[in-house]
Amino acid sequence: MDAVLASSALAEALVAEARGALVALSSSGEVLSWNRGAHRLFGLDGAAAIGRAFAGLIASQAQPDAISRRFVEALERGSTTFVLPVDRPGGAAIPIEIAMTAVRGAAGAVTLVAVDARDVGELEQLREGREADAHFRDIVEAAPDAKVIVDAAGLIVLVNAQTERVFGYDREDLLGKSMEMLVPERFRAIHPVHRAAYVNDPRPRLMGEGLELHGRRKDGTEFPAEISLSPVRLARGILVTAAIRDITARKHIELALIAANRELEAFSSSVAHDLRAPLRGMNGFAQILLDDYADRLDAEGVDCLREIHFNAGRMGALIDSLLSLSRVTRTELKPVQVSLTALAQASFAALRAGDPGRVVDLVVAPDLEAELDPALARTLIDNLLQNAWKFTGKVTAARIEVGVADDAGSRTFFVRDNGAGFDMAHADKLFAAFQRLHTVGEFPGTGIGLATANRIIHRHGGRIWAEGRVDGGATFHFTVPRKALGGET
Amino acid sequence: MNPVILLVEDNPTDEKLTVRAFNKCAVPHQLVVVRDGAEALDFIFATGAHAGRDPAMDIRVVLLDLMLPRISGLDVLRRLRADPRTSTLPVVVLTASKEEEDVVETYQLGANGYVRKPVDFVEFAGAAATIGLFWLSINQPAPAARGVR
Repeated sequence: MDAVLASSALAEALVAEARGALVALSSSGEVLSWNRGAHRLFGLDGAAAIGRAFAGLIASQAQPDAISRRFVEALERGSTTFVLPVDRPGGAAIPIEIAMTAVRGAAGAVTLVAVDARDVGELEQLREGREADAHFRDIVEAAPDAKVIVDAAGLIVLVNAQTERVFGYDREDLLGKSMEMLVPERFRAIHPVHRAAYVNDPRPRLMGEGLELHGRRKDGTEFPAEISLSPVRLARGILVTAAIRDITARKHIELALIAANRELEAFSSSVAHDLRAPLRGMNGFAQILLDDYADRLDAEGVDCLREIHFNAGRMGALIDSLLSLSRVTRTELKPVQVSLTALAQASFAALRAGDPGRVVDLVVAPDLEAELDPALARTLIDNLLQNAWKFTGKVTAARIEVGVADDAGSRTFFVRDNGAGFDMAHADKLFAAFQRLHTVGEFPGTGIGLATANRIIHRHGGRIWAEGRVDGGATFHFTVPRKALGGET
Repeated sequence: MNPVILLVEDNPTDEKLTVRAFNKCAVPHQLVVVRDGAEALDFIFATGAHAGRDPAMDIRVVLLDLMLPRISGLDVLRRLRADPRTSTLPVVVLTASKEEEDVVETYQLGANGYVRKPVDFVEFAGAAATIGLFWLSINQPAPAARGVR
């Protein structure tokens, strides 16, 4: 008897002191006992709970009848376990895992139902945290750049595989060490100062913008690097992620490009100087023959001389056009606000001066302005107007119109003529160098003017296209971004 | 003695054409041709092979090509401008290039003009006649600018 009493008191003490919530219910669902853990978990003391229906004490907006349903299930099947979002006064619901076990007496009838409940929210958070952490590590590991993550003191917390490749260290050599080991020796003294400044104002940005940065490999060699920094804020403090890209290859390409441009420069200047000289000789001496010796040649001989003279002149024009085309690519863009209206008027005046016999009507909209390199803008407008001038050569009442269509904020300029036009089937050939849609006999030209216009617009980041109809005129449209690429603000 | 136009030209074809073009120039003149930059300086300063040239020669204008053997056109221009005896001697660059950098540089070095040789001979002859007319009869030279006497 004593032993039974003793064991009953022991059980009661165990239940009362257990950290988990333990509750006993009657077979009809009223609370028989309510320990301290239940008090903590549900926010109700035993005095308030005992004698009341358990289902009435535990509120769950998400599943209002869950407790009653599960209680029946426990009675029928012996036990049930489920997670219920339990409402908290003034706070979000917390997930609580509840296990109900029916206890039967000697007669087989249910004498009580034991309830064991615990808060699983914390567990879930922990698991989610571990998953997020693993996810973060995966992302870092897969990054194409070397990623070095350091804490506020500059100690390396995490690196990825690319870091090992770029710097030549194994990650064990890096973790926990000062990240200054990756900085060239001459910058090691000053680097912590910059690092501290970053931690005080941490925002994602490029490091040392405009400076040539270098990383130091394990073997002491250096490589040119591009480094971007971003902060990671954690409960235990701030971490800084440095993404480091080895730009050795890009630097090589840049140098090769500079050399190629220099070569092109030299080539162009040699074309300008040397290629024209023999043409001058051919053209000049043919002219001299025509001037001073024509009387000693028959008509066919004179015609041959004219051909030599004409072709040498034409080749000179071709060389000039090619040089002007290559200049478009060679020159450094310096876009400013230019008046296309003024350029069109000046270009038109020059065309009229060169061919005073023609009557052409020019209509230019006022105040056409675009952000373009001024020298290239002149070449662009000259080429488009020359084109319009030329192809209106055979129409009466020739008319050239320069204007702008302003739709949805993007300005589309146009140069329209009512000349010979073209077949839209060949529209793609218009802007290719040396492509001509007419014979030299019909309309003279080098086939480079529109290619030049095209290149100028592309260099400014704009678009150019044409619309036309045979004998129905042509319209050249072009756009210029408000802030051209490479432009100054 | 007729005023002198000094042509600095290394290309024999261009030389012949330029001589012919200047033959059509109405202003009486004497066209002297030298074939590289070093000879140009010798002629102007009456040194070297030209030490014995007539000191009374009146050089009114130097027509200077840029691409020259031995001493380049730009260097000839530099030397002329650096010497007080020739710092105001009219120099017109006569070249095939219309590269913008060449134009800017020659003006910065103190050239008086920049003429691009056209391929078309009719145009070229017209340019020569105009150059001759302007520098020999319209332009008023600085008193000390007539080369070395």
